[in-house]
Amino acid sequence: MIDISVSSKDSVTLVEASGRVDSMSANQFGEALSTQIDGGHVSLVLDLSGVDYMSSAGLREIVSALKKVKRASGDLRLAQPSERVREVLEMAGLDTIFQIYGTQDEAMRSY
Amino acid sequence: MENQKHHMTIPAVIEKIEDACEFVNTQARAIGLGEDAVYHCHLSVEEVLTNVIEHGYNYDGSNKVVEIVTEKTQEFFIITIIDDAPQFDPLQQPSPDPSTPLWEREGGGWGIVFVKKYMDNLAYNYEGDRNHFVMEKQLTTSD
Repeated sequence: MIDISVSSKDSVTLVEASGRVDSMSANQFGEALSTQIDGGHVSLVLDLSGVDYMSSAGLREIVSALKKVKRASGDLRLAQPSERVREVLEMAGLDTIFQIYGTQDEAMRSY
Repeated sequence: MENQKHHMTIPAVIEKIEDACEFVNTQARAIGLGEDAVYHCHLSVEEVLTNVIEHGYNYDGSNKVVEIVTEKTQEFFIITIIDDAPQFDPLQQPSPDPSTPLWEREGGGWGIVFVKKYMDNLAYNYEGDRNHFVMEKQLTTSD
């Protein structure tokens, strides 16, 4: 299961996820990101500090969201992934594709 | 000492993967695997089952079942996933390249990469018209 909350500060939209992003919750996770992009919120920060598990299904969703937001001239930046999530990001080479920040504040201020 | 074997079957649908993961987690904890190793088994089982349901049964497996068998030997916690989808050996597929640029990424293929990283030994057999995917986690390691 995954919980998602969305807020904004200045022109940056913060999506905070918590729980597990697996093959069952990945669609919900991807749709939450997609909804923001479709709504014109294209300066996105995804805070992953509350996500303790992300399988390849979750990675597929964030890659898809990144493509979508970049087509809209925006970006999706990641904040404070847990050690386990960072490890899967690294194995898939996504640590060089996403901008990843150690704190939410840094990620928000990067825009 | 006799090996301890446990079986579970689930309908081949995404919604039931968590039940299989919980079953494996319970067995893994019961034999004393550490939490990192339990996590590795959990993620590996999810990835393999997702592949079976997505590619093996093309999301149309509600009238099919997948069997999950766990076994403890002296050295290993062994998880076997058995399905009757068309014959498919995931170990023979080329691994995706982590240096692939964003726009060339198609999203798939990472699950088996994680399974290869997190489990100690893998094997594939096709027996009795069924795919058998075997994953071993060493008992002596906590990671």
